[in-house]
Amino acid sequence: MVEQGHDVDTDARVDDSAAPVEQAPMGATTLADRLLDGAGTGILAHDHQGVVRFLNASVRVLLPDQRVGEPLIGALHLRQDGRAASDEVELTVTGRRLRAHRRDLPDGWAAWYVDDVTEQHARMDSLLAERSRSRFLASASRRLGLCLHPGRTARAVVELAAAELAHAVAVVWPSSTGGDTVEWAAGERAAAVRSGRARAGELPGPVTAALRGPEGAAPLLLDDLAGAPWAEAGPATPWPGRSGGSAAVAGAVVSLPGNGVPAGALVLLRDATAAAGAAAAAGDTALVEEFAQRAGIAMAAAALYARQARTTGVLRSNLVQPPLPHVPGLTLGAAYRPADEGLLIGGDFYDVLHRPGSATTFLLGDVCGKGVDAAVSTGRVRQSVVALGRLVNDPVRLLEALNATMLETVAADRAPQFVTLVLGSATPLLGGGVRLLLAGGGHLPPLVVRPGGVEAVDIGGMLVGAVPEARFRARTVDLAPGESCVLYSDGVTEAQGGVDGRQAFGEERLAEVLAGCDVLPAPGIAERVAQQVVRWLGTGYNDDVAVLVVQAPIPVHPRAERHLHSVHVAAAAHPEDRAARRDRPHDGTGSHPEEVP
Amino acid sequence: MTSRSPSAPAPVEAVRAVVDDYLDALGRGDETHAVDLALGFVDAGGSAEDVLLGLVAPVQVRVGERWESGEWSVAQEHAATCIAERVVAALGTRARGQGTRGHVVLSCLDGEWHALPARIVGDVLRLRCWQVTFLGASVPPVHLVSFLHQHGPDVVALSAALPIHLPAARHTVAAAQRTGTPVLAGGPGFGADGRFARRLGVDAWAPTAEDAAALLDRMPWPATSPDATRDDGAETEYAGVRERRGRLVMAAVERLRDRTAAVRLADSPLDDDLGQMVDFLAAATWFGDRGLFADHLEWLARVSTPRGAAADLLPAVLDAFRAELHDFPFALTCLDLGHDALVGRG
Repeated sequence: MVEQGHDVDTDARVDDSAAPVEQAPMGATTLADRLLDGAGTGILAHDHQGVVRFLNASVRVLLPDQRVGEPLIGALHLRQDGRAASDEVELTVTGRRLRAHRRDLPDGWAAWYVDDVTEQHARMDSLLAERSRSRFLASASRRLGLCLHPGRTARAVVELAAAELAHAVAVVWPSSTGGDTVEWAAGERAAAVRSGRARAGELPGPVTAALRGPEGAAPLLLDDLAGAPWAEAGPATPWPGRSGGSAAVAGAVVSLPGNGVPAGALVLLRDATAAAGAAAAAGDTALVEEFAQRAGIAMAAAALYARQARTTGVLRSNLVQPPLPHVPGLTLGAAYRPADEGLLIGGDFYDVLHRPGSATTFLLGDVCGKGVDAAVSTGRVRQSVVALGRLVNDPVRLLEALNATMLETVAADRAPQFVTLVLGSATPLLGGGVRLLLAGGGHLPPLVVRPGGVEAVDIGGMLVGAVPEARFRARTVDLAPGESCVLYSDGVTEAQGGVDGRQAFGEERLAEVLAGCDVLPAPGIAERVAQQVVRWLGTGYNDDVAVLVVQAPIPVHPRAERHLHSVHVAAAAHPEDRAARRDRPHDGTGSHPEEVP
Repeated sequence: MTSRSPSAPAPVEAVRAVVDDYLDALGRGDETHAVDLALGFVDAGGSAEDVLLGLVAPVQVRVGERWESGEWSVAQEHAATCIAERVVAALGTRARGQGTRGHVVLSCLDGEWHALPARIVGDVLRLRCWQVTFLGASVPPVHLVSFLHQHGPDVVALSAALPIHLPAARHTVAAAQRTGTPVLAGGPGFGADGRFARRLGVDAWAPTAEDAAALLDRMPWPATSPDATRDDGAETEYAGVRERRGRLVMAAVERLRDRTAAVRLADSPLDDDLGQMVDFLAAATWFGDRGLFADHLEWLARVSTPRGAAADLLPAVLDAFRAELHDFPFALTCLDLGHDALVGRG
């Protein structure tokens, strides 16, 4: 064979150098011709003028238009200067992908070797498509898991699908508020996502079916989507049901799988005139399904979270610190920063109970423990004080009643859960001051802020809810106008921080912060304390922090010159607003005769 | 102000005319008069936005100046600010928009207690029909992010008066953006030209309330490219300075101990002011911006002089810092520039 090969080589060379060769007649072929015909690669030879001189069997199939003795045609032809346009050519002939490369032969001749790469291309295309599918699904998974809000998640679904799967997308899901309300988000490629609510009855039939379950899925007729709530607000195309819509649009409605029931429905519309869109439509059922799976999981998780957050919110509403009431003749301020910052509830609590015609009761306390368990206890204590406060007005008696109630209601198999608290009553005085009666239940002493300095009111008392025979005491403190009484939790004084991160904030530092605060209104004092404590803590350990400030309204300093009074006319025209500002005397004398009980 | 004719709404100039009267009311703690002045305009047909941006906001700048010059104590300044907050609240009950345009959640960065500017921006957006939730001063990041998960607002707006809270806020910004919520930044803390905002990777920055409103009108915003100039060295050096915060403050306190009995810079306890100096140094290191620290030093020199601080107090603090930071090349150049700035002040 090897020797034969040598012969062939020689023959071929002789053949090349010879005069133009006519196509070899069948049956009268040289060995070289047979070998060339047997090669899978198509081989074409042409002379220096670009006239085809030889074609093997393969190339006759691949390039049926090339003829021996005629000039090269198509992508292989020679340019004006007698050179080939390129040595490497990719061409498509009768639906097949060909790759040809050129080699120089002696005497200005050249050969083209032509390979059929159709299969290779197909494999590469599907590999790339698979890769982009994986990339798309990976980015979908990444984005969809990031937010637990149903609306946000739906928006992400719309944006992802509109970028890759369809030209216009809508997602519909049952509202977390229940009933037959649905929410929707819709958007078109490269446009902002819109959203809204609708009644389930207003939805197009196929969407309703998809919300019921995947069984109902049927081929989508575009007229089915006419009148969908999102189509109204959207652009005229591609949504049907508007003038200029529907013509060349292909659509699908997919049920988003959830926990047992569908988490929502996904509507996809493709502009069928776009070639890429049509191609995508053909092969992507699997991709759409995969995407729907991921979208469904994310929507279901968000719906679950929303439901639980709603439940938590309702339960929590009794545990978060209440807004302070408006009390005539008193200025109130509070600050609260729980250790569990996400839920905003903790083991510290405060409350102010105002009933017109009687003294205002206020309290601040601390149950042992932190977080949700402690917060539940604080709720119980606050409720008890509200109920008992209707019957008992005196702070000491109220503490005794609370102590008994807490001991009675503790479960037999559980240790008593005690609290420390300060409970007081406030009565505005003639002349703008306030009389406080402060009772202590083993809590930190309240601080009174006066222009001359800060003094602690030592009232002692025992823990509340620990022993039946607990003793409590009360002290009377009078606040002159502008003076304040500051109640605080141990999260303030025991805050660990400072320069080395290990010092306690301490009562001394608190008193230092409060010194000079006599010019501040109560909310400003509370905020100033919280601010200093949080700064003190830095990034360190965090306990619940609660501050409640009860203040006799600050007297207004007389003005340098009296001004025009037209604004009083304005105020009179809005009695509700005047009421809202009544805690400040209008005339600067500080007297409030109509508000003293 | 004196005439209440509904046909002639009070123009902005009329609002400006009572600036002195209003500032005087704040200084005297006369909430009633301050509120009456503000509401008087709205009742006379003026716009609440003009009152917020033409009276409350500019006067607040003057309140700050009075404190800086030592004319007012810090408590007086706080009292004035409290009253201004009540004025803003009163305006809010009188005039508000429909809340139909989208939901903006507004929050001060953790550690940022200047809430009034954010409150004003919130009310301006409300008047322009945005639904606004204001989470308040110094909002813990956990609280902000759980709010985003529960309520899914359209935008998060973050407010910062001081740049020292920004490096720590980068995680908050990233967490908000991961929920798909774009982040708008505002307040002088982000730099007069917003350069710190870009560094933080927020989606948009607005220097004023009007700009914020205009930006919100143009949603969605074009995607921002992450800042490519970040270098890991700055991150490491920042972390190192933060870690040495306590040691630096103690070194400075030690250095000052044998000089004067009671040293005060601004109105806070000394170690608070020294700690804030370290915070500025750390932020300057993180942003790679020496001017940030030098500017703070100049400010501190300006406010501490009327409070009786000796002129060579701050250079002594810089020396104490320098001795502790010999491994921190960029922080050292910040200290040098700060020293030059103090010397240049004379």
